Order: sequence, then C-alpha cells, then structure tokens
Amino acid sequence: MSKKKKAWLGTSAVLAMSMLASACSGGNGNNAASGSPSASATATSSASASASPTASASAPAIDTSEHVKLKMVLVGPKAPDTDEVYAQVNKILTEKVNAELELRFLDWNEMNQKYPLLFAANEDFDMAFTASWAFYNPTARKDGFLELTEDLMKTYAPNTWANQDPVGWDQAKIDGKIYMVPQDAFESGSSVAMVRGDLREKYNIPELKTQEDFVNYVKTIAKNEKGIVAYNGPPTTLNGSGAPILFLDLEKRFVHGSAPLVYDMKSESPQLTNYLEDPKALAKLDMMYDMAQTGAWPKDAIVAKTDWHAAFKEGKMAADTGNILTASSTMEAMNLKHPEWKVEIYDLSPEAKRFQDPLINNGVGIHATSKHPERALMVLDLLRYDRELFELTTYGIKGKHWEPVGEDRYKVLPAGATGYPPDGVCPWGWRTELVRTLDGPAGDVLQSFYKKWKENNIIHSPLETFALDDANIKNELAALANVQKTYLLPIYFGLVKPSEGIPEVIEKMKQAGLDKVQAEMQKQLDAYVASKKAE
Amino acid sequence: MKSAFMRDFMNYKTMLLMLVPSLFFVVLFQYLPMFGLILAFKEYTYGKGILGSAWNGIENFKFFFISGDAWRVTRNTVLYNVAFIAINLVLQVSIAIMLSELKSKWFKKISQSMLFLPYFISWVVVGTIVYNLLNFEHGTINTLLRSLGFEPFNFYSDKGVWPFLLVFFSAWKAVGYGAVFYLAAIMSIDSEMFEAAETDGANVFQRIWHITIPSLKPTMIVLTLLSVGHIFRGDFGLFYNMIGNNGLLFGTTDVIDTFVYRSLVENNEIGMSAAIGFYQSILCFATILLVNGIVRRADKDSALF
Repeated sequence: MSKKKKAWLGTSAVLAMSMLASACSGGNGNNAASGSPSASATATSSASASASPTASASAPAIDTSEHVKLKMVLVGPKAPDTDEVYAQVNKILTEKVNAELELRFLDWNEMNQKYPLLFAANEDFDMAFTASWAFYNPTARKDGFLELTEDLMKTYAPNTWANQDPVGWDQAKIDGKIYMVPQDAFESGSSVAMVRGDLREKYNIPELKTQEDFVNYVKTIAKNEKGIVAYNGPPTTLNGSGAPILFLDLEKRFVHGSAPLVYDMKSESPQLTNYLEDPKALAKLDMMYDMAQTGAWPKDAIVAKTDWHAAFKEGKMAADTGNILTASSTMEAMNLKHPEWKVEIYDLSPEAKRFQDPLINNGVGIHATSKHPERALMVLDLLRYDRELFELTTYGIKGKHWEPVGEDRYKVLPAGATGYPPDGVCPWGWRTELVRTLDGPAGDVLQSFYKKWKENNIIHSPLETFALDDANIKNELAALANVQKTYLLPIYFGLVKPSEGIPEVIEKMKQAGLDKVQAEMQKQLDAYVASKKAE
Repeated sequence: MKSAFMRDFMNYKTMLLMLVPSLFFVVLFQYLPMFGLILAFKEYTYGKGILGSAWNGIENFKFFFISGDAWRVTRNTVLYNVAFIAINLVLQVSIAIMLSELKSKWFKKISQSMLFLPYFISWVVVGTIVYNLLNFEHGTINTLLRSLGFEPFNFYSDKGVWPFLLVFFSAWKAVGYGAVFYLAAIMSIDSEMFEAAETDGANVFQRIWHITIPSLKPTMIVLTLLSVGHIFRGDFGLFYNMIGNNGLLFGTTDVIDTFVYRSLVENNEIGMSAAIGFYQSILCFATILLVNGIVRRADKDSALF
C-alpha cells in the first residue's frame, strides 16, 4: 500500500462523515411551489363530454379521455387479498372516470421514517393518506400537499364539497388554506378499558365503574394470577400523556405532544398550565407508581418489544386500554376465538367531558407535484360517496369477506378476518356516513358508548379547529420531546418515584425552553379564540 | 514537469483505470452529497427544495444545545468510541496473532468463521438476544441466578453496568471482522524473518514481540486513524437497539445519534438533522487533523497525510 493510496483512503473516510447530513437530499431541486397546477385543467372544458358521475349540473364537462394510473400511499399492512379487491375497484373506476389506483403501503413500523421521505425525495405519487396524527401539519406546512381550493373541489369533487361537514374544512385549515380532504363520520377515540370477565369473576371483583376499580383489578391479577401480565402500563414512547385512560377525567387537552402544556376543555378562554404541576395529575402518576410496585407490568417493560395488544388477544395479558374502535374490534375477534374469556369493555370516567375526534384524524391529501390532481379528486369523490366503491375498499368483496346485515350493519366472514380485515386496509381516509357498524355484541357496545357520549359527554370548544404553528418554537419542542422521553417516561413506568422525579423533569423542561413554548402557544391560542369570536 | 506527469500517467495507466470505479463511487456518494450540508443552515420545505428554501442562520443547531445535555452526549460518544477503538484494537490484534500461530488448518478456519459470524448479525437481532439474556422476569441470566438461589439482578435499571455490556457486545461483533485485516497483514510479513529468528533460537513470544507486532504497526495506525475519523459518531444501531427508550440508562449510554433521534423523530426537520451531522463532521475533521499531526510528528511514514 503506497503512501499516496493511504492518504487518499484517509481523506475519503473523513469525507464520508459528511454523508449523513445529506443522505436524503435526492432529486428535489426545483419543484414549483404548489401554486396552481390545476389552472390548465380547469380551463379544459372541451367537447369530449364523458359521462362523469360527479359532474353536477353547474360543473363544466371534464375531459377524462386519457386513461391514468393514480398512485396512492396508504398506511398499515397490506392484506393478502388487497390486489383482488382493488382489481374490482379499478374496473369500476376505469368505467366511471377512466382511472385506476395503484397502492403503496407503508407498514406501521416504517411509516415514521418513510412517510416524510416520500415527500422529501419527491417520489412519484398522486395521493396519500394523511391525518392529524400522520404528518398532516408538518407536511402541509412544508408544501407537500396541493392546496385544495374551493374551485378545485367544486369542479372535481362536488359531492364532497356539498356533503362534507364544514367543521372538517376548518380543522384542515393551515394558515387559512386547506390541504386535505378530511373524513366525515363521527368518531370518538376516548380511551376505554378492556378486561377479562372470567378473571374478574374468578376473584369476585364487581363490575368496574371507576379508575380505582380498574387499578384494583390490575393489582389483584398481578398479585394472584401467575403466568400472565396484568397490564402493559404506558407505551414506550411518550407523546402527550402516557396514560390517557387515567387522565380522561381531568378534562384537559394537550396542544402539542412534546410539551406538557394543557388547557381546560370547557374553558371559553383557555389558559395553558403544566399538568406536571397539577396535584390531580400527580395523583395519577402515583397511581401508576403504585401499580408498578405490585408488579402490574414487567420491571423492564420500558425496553420490552412486546406487542401488548396482541398479547391481550392471545390471553397473555389481563387488561388492555385503547380507543373504543380498536377495543370493540378486539372484543369481536376474541369473542370468536375464546368466548370463555368474556371480554368486557368499560368507560372508567363515564362523567368526563370529551371532544369528538377531529375529522382530520383521517383524510387524504393530494401530492403537490401530482400530474393528475383533478383525476385524483374525482376518484376520491367516488371512493367517498359511491356505495359500491366505498364498501369494496372498506369491507372487501361482499359475500367473501363480509356480508351486510340490514341497512347499516355488517358481519365479518371467516375469509375476511385474514384476507381483507373489514375497515382494516386503510380505507379511513375516505370514511363517510356510508360506514356500517359491526353486528353483534361488540358493535352494540360501540353504538351504546357513542350514543351515550353524544348525549352526555361530547362538548365543543372554539379550539377544536386550532392548529399550532411551530415555526418559532421548533427547537424548544425538539428539546422538550427529548426531556419527556429521558426523564418523564421512567416515571410513568414507576421506575422513579414521582415525588422525587417530577421536580427534575420540570427543571429540565424549563431549561429546554418550556416558558418560551408556553408564551408562544398561549399567544396563538388567544389570537385564535379572538378570531373565532370575531366571526 | 508536464512530461513527468504524462510519463507517470502512462506508466500507471492500468492502475489508474482500476481506480476509476472507486473514484466514481467517492465522487457520487461523498463529494456530491456534501453540498446538501447547506441544509443545516436552511429552513427546508418540500416545495422550495434545497436551493430555494430560506436561510435561517444557526437556528437549526439550537435544539441540541438548549437542552443542556449536549456536553453529556458528546462526552459519552467520544468515551465510548475511545473504548471501542482501544479494546477492539487489542483484541483484534491478539486474535489475529493467535489465529496465525495455529497449526491445524481445519481448526483455524472454523474458529475464524465463528469469530466472523457475529459481524453479520444485525443490531436489531442482537438487541433482542440481549434482552432475552438480561431481562428481569424470564431472562436467561436471571433465571439461572434464581435457580442457584441468588438474588436476580435488574440490568435495565442499573446504568453502571451498561458501559461494560456495550463495550463487550461491540467487541463481540467487531473482533472477527477486524482480525481479518491483521491476519492479512501477518501473512504478508516476510517468512524469512521468522525462519531467521527461529534459527537464532527465539521462542514464540519473542518472535511475536519483535517481529509480528512491529510489522503490524503501520496497519494498526492506519486502521486506528480511520476509526478516529468517526469518533464523534455514535453507532446508532448498537445504542438504540440495546437501550431503546429506557431513560434510566441514558446518563451513561446516551450518544449524539440517539439523542438526536429522540428529539427529531416526530418533527422531521431535515435541516436540524443536517445541522447535527455538520456538527459531528466538523469535530471529527478537527480530531483527525490533530491525531494525524501527532502521528506525523512521531513517525512520519505512518501518518495518513
């Protein structure tokens, strides 16, 4: 090895280090901003009047003579029968708007990394699932989605424009502009508890009514029932509260998952407070600490890679918590396989007021650089309001994967459970009132909770549609996210005593700029409330 | 002058031709992406692209320093890397020497393969294996301790043991791979020297000490200098898969890369990640200049440049 060659090797090693910084800088040079890609399209009101089902009387005829393939990005696993289902979907779409869909799935474990990269690398796709929990805000703020103007919507998705609950558009607004078509169906993701009825009876525990009852159930199982994990406790990443089910009755709401700042849901002019300074919230953390000491979850659960929801389904865990939709489908699946476990679902804070889930909890955005945004909107309009397409994409093939029960309910067929889980292959982005409810006890539970919540618990606040602009506090939010995961998460897991750990957490958060974040958020909240009052 | 260059060029044209693919590789994957570093000083948006996005000064670097942990994670990163470099060097050289002294060809091949094997196991898998060895309830080690009547030990809440565990697993994974370099270097030592030494009555240790190790010195220096070039980069795979989100252990196990990952995984600010990449590059660059300078002063021939 000559000296020169060695020198060259060494230099290149140094240079290699600068790679990380720019690994994702692929061909993204000069995209035009998301100005008006549809200008030309709107102008083409030409002779070829295709029989577009979306064309209402006032809309100009739309030229669909060119057959286009639209690429759509969905999240979650791709079910085995997806291609079969979408072959049928494409047949109908070709007939109606001369287009077909090509799907690309980002599975849960890769979604966080890959979703933003699809936009950064400006990959070729036309539409993507998006949601308030799936990068809607940051992607829209970085011009990843096409702005959906009223003109555009009226022309190419008239049914959507006519039927969508306007609250959805309000929620989707980022600096006054809309970048996604939100879903349009009632949902409330309130946390509920699932427990095993057989174990509850075995230890003579009465039906659960309160959080204390739940904690008691968990502790009893932890002490007496060997070979089963009582409860998984908090998640291993922290975003907002680590135990939403226990915090429900505080009736507080987070502005951003990285900061511990909450406001009172019922307040007309909300003031931000740090929940870690609220004695009621600290009592909840003590409750968690107490559970951890009785061995409710494994000592090293904080590093466990177990899929706890699956563990509950398989009978390896005695209690689980989650939103009511997931809970009811879990119950359905478990009742089919193990009716003797007598799964029960409880709302532990029946009096607590709660928000309806924002409609932007699910939705579809059009890629800013899509070549066929008009056709994508037409397809989306069909997916939302064409009953056949909606049911195909949501439930699969009728008679194979599911069958209808009456007007608004459905039953899962055996092939559906594995081949195309109903409502499981990411059809959430175009959910509308065509949605059916699961038939049977699980569906009944869901309906009864929804009914009760709608009547007693759901409240509305002017802040429902507020979207934080993090431009001035990005650094502080990043630092706070880190502090939460480093110092707060171990407290949730009961590894550090709350009374000892919390002062350190608060100190670290102050250092990371909590006060600045609070001031900025409060300023934006106040301005938003004022603007709402002015309307 | 020019003619000399041309003469060299003609003399080495085959060699130079062989250099072309790797030159191409370096330009394509290392020089070209370097221009992406400007992202560290920009507020990146998809619509405006790399060149069009607005400049925002040193805004992207702030999150790293305001948390107060920048010093801690930088220190951890360097200390771990120093430990990895030193321990792996000693182990790799000694294993290479041992392997070279083995007489049985069959045994030599088997042990070399066994040592090499861990290199191919991904850190994700290693992380799971380690968890199954060490976890409190069902881990192999704790089950063994319990059955022997000892108190089980909760590894995942004791930050003192992790520096040792991390160094151990890093060595376990890297030793076989590194030893190959030294083994190759040993093979290229002129065998006449060994024969001469033997004739002069040198025993095996004297031969190793006076011939093998001095002959390995240039290789050791080059490989060490190359790893020093990465001294401010934590091995994300190693640290993230072994420690995960366990804040209790971060005091002794948090490195720059895991810290940045935790801060940025939710907000996807490419500019901020670029900023930290830039910070690490600058520090690495300074370190390698410094170390190379020291080496050059001590032994001019061994320096990289």
